[in-house]
Amino acid sequence: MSSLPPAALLLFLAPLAALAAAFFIMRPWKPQWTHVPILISCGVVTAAAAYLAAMVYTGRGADVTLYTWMFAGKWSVPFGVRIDGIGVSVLCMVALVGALIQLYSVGYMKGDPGFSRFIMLLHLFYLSMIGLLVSNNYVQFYLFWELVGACSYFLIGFWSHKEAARKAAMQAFLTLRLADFGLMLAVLLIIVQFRDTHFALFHAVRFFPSMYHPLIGLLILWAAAGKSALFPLYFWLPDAMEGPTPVSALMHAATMVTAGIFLLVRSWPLISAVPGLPGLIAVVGAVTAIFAAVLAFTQTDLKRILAYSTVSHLGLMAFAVGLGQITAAVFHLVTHGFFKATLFLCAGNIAHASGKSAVSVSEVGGLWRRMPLTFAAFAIAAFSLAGIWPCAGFFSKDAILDAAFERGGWAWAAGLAIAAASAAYIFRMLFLTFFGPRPEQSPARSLHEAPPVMAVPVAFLALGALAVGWAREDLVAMLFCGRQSAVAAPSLPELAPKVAAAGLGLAALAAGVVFALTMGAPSWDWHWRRRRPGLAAAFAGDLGWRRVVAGFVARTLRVADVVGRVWDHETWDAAIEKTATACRALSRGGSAMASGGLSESLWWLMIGAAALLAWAGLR
Amino acid sequence: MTQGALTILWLLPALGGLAALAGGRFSRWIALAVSLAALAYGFWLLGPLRTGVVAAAPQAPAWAFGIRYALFCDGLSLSLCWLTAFLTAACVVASWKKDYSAGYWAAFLFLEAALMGVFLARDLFLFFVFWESVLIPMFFIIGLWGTAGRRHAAMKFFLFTFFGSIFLLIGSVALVTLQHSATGVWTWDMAQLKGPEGRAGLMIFAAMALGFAVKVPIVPLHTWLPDAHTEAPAAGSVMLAGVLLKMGVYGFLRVLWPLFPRLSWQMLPLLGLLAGINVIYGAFCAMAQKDLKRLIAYSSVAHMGFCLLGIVSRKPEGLVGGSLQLLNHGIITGTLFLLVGFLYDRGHRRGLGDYGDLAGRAPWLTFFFGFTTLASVGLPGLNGFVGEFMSLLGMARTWSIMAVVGVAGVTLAAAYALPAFQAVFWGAPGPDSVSALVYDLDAREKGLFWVMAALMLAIGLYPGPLLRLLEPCLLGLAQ
Repeated sequence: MSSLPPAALLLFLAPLAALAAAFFIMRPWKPQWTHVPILISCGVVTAAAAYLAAMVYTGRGADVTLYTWMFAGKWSVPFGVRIDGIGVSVLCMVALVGALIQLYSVGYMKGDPGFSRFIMLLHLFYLSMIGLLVSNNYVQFYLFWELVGACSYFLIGFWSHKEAARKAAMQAFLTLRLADFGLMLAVLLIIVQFRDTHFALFHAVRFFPSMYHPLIGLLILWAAAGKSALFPLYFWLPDAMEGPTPVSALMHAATMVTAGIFLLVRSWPLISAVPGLPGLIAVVGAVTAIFAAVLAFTQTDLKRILAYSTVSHLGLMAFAVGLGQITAAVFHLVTHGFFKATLFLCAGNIAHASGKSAVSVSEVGGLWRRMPLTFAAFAIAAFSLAGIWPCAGFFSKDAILDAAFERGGWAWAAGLAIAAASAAYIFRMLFLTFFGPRPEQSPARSLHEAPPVMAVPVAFLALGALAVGWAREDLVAMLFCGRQSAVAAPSLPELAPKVAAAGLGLAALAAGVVFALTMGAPSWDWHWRRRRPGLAAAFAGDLGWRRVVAGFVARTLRVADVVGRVWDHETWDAAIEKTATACRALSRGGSAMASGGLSESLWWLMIGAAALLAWAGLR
Repeated sequence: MTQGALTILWLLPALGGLAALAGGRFSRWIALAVSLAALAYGFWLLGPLRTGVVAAAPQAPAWAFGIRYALFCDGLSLSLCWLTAFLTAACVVASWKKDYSAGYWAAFLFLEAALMGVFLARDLFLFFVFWESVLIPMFFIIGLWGTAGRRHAAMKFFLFTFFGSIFLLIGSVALVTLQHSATGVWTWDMAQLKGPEGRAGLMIFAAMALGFAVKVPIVPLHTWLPDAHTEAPAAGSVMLAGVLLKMGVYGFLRVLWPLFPRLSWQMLPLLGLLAGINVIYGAFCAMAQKDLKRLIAYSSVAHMGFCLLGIVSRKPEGLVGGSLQLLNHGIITGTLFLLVGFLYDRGHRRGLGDYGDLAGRAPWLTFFFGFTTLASVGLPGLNGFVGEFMSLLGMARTWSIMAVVGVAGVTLAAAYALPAFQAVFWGAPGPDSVSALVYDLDAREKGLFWVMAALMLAIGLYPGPLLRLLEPCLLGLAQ
């Protein structure tokens, strides 16, 4: 065990101190300045993360136990910090992107009555994710995992006066809880099996065949599917758009949904030891990626398109994990964080400028002239998402496509389909929003560019979306520095011209087709929606999956009603209450006998005597 | 000497109760002072306990049939005494502004005294006497100061739990008599009693378990609980859920496990199944409730299921976790009932549909309710998680299917707690909502909840001291 670097402590202390200062000093005193300590803490955390990254890059990791959290008998759970390549490479992205988004939200949420509450919740969210990334055991990981979920609940439902926001928050939390069922059970089984929960455990344990391992692996996959919005638990994420835009940006890019993929990567030694499980993860990822990309193509709300796009990309990351390319998965996780944050904040700029919380692509058009900076940032991020050279997304996507190519067969086909589909939906969004305007759209007259406090973070993020991929070699080197994983993950393959050409060609083809479909006259994008309302409704309902989910919820509520009301209250409790009535009836009968009348008493006496005699006679 | 040290712990509130009865308008001050003094004294006892003075209490001379006045204290007893004293003090502070008569304040002190006695008794007869005397002040608290249906609820509570107590008494008497006929010595000392083998042992075990099960409560013997909790005054609900339910689990741990080490372990399938049913059944019932207090009452049924899962598992994690969960549930559910009490003081309604959008109107009430709800659904980092997780871990090691059921219960907890939170604090008020009557917490109420919230956070992140206190007295019960 190496000693604890002070920078690692800063990751916790700075946000905690900032939250305390914000809650106890700023909020009662000057609520509109709540962001000051928070932003300072963001800066400190980002610097600390950079320092830790440098430390890991030079080969010095750390794994330190701070104190024993829970214990009984021979068993104990530590509370500690683990600084290693996997954690720190994601940590750097989360710290930087999260800090920029918080800076952005200061501008976005200015003047909102809940400003100080919002900014504090956002920071707690940030802290939880950072804690998750540097946890050194599964129980502590679970702590931050749940905390992330709870923060997202309050942030999605932040505008609690909106019914849709309340519903979305509830749906998100309950779905996440359903997924946490898997994680908690997996953690329990890990302890039962190995008597330890430390991440380093998996490097020491020889995996012997046991019925528990596939079960633990499946439960971890289930948990990751919930948090990272993979099929079949993805549906909460698009609805979570009801929160303010910075929340969406933070959730989609940095703090929330990446946790599931991170869990898969952390548990890779165990998962790879279970035969068939990586293949299952790849299939789940591919299905999610293609399914969500198709849905993203048919959505009209700006934020919903991006939400389905996130689902699709998370599927892609899971696909990479399933193919054994955890390096590529982490790499794509990092680049995705930058370009998705940019896209969301651009959508936020548009929403902020138009004064609405939800903007549809069929409403606005021709924005590039009104909001040139937003357009430039959006275009870079869109190119990055579509995987076009030299943007960051190209490198990470290419690595995944390479892996798919090597696997061949269905994986290669799925990889190409994902590449084409993601280019298609993001270019559709780009064309519809920024080009035109089409005659169907209302001309955007009053829209204006975002103020500097919002524009600067967007510019920085766009820069990241452009350039992060160039540091590919360094990132890969870092992943394997420090305390690396025992099961060596394959390093990234060299850029294969054939694969790159196939991916780029498909993306360009998709962009061209989409241009014709959206900008041509008459525009197909409006046309099919009007001609086939049934089909449009089917796509809006996620091809029937939402109805299945609603049916499940309704059934659970019905069970609760039957158990809680019909059985417990109206049947069982009523029966118990009846015993009192029965006793009273008995006592009334008894007291009727003791009426005090002489003749009646004599009658009873005679009956009693006769009964006694009869009994004696029978004996 | 040390016997005397423990006697003070229950005698102090008892005498305080008498003083409060005579105290007239000073009785609430007396109640506050005495409950705080008992709490402070309870903390002071930790020192002697550490050095092992208190645990080995000497014997007083026996009365008839070997009945002795004998007290005993270990980590489990002491922590439950702390809980009792703490919640009594909290109840006094919470009902400070009420213009109740002296009897109200005295009843809480008498209740505290009786509960302390239950947790300290070493003699089974003494245990039973204290066990029964808990009913009297509680009966009056519900019946005199409760809400509309209080008389029915008080009677139901009394009869139902008395029904259970009779079985406990029968079991105890049979146990002692059998031991006398076997050894020729009369004793009620829990340390010297041994449960008989065979059929007689099974009958005695069943009778005593039935007595404890009513108190826990174990489904299907739970139906006194929703009525009593709902109709009691807020502070009464706090004591009911916070401490009275603990008596049942304490009985299992303190009386049944040591008396019947083999039999209670053989009963694992039945007891584990009942515990699992408690968790799931309580959660589903809570989901169906429309009344906030009833909902919390049913959530207690579910939470006590977690405690049972832990202690039934008979693994160190489970035993310690289940016992810790007793304290956690006392703090969490106590806080929830206090919060609902304050809400009821303002709006005079308890229905989920009677409020709405309180977040803007009463931000502190919302903050504390949200915080406590998260603790109640077992959010890690707050205290509920530690106990639940350790209990489930114990069960996972003993009988993993029941651990799966328990984890499902953790998931379901969110499905009843959060909709209730949303209905009251978020969203649009309905046409006959009384949200307009609700104003925010004042300094006294806020201070009370800060203490509660700090405890939840402290135990959630650093349960070490409590675990260390509980561990030594429970490891002997592990199988």
